[in-house]
Amino acid sequence: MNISLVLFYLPLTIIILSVVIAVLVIAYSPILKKIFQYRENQANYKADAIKEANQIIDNSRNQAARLLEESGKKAEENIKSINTSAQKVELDSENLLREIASRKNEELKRLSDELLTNYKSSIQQTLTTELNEIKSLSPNLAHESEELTSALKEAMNTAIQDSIKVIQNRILNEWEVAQNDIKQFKLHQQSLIEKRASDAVSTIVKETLGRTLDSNDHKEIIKNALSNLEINENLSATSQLSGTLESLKADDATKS
Amino acid sequence: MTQLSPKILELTRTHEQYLSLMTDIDLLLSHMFQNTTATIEDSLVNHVGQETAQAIKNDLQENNIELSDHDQVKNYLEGLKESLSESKILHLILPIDPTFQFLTEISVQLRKKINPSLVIQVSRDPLIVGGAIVIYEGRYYNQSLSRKIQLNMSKYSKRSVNASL
Repeated sequence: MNISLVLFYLPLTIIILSVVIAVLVIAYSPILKKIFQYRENQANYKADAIKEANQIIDNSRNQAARLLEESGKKAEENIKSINTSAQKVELDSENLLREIASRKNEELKRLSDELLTNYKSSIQQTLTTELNEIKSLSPNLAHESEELTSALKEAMNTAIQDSIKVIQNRILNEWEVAQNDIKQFKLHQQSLIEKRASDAVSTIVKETLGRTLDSNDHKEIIKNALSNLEINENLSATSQLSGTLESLKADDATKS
Repeated sequence: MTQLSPKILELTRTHEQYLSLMTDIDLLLSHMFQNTTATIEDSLVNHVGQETAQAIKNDLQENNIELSDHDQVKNYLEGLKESLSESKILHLILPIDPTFQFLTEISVQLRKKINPSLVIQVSRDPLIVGGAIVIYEGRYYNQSLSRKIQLNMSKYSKRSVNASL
C-alpha cells in the first residue's frame, strides 16, 4: 500500500516541483540576468582597475627610469665638461708659460744687448779719451799707452763677461718667478674645477630632479627608503656592518 | 623603572618632544624638592605643558598613586625619567622639513620595526635630494637619492676616464 502511494506521489511531486522551478526561473530570469550582468560588470571593473593600477605603476617606473637616465646624462655631460676644462687649463697654462718665457727672453735679450752696447761704447769712449790725453801729454809714453790699452781691453772683456753672468742670473730668477706664477695659476684653476665638480651633484639635482619631486614624491621615497632599512635591520650584525661599510666606501669613492 | 604608557610614548616621538618632557619632569621634581607644601596638582597646572600634565595624571591614576602622596609621585617621576633616559634615539636626515603628521607616520613605522620607544631626531639636508639617511646605534644607512646619483656619476666618470685612456 505504502509503496503504491509512494509510486503515485513521487512523480507527481517531481512534476509539481519542476513546474514551480520553471515558473520561478521564468519569473526571476530578468533578475538573474541582471545578477549575471552585475557580476560581469564587476569582473570588468576589476580588470579595468588592475589595468589602470598596472598602468600607473608602469608610468611611475618609466618616470623613475627617465629621471635616473636624465641625471646620468647630466652627470656625464658635467664630467665631460669638467674634464675638458681641466685639459683646457693644462693647455692654457702651458701656452701661458711659453708666452711668458718667450716674452721674458726677448725682453732680457733686448736689455742685455742694450746694456752691452752702452757698456762697450762707454768704455771705448773712456779709453779713447784717456789715450788721447796720454798722447798729448807725452809722446814717449806712446808705447806704454799701447800696453795700457791692451790691459784696459782685457779689463773691459772681464767686465763684459761679468755683466753677461749677471744678466744670465737675472734671466734664471725671472724664469723661476714665472714658473711659480704659472704654478699658482694652475692651483687656482684646479681648485675652481674641484669646486665645480663638487657642485655638479646639486646642479644635476636642480636641473633634473628638483623641479619634478613634489612633497608627496618626497614622502613616498622617504617611506620606501625606511622600509628598505627595515630589511637591513633584520639582517645579522655582521651583514649590517658590512652593509654599512659598503655604504661608507661607496660614499668615500664618490667623494674622492 | 616605570613602564612607559602609550600616552607618554605619544609625547616622545621626536627628540624635541622628548627633551621637553624630560625638562618638564625635572621641573616637577625640582619644584617638589624645593616646596614640599605645594601640591603636585598645582605643579602640574602651573609648571608643565597641558599634554604632559594630562599624561602624567593619567599614568598616576592608572598606577593608583594619589596626587597627594609626594613620595610615591616622586618615585614615579624618577622612574619615568630613568625609563625615558633608556630610550634609543634615531637620527634621521631628510631633504624636506617634515610635517608633524608625516613624522608621526614615520615614527609609527620605525617604532613598529625597530624599537617601541624609539625617539626620532630629524635634521634637514636638501643636498641628499630624496630618501633618507639614518644613523642608529653607531650605524650609518645612506638610503638617499644623492648617493644613488653619486654612484651613477662615479660609474660614468670611470667610464669617461677609461674612454679617455
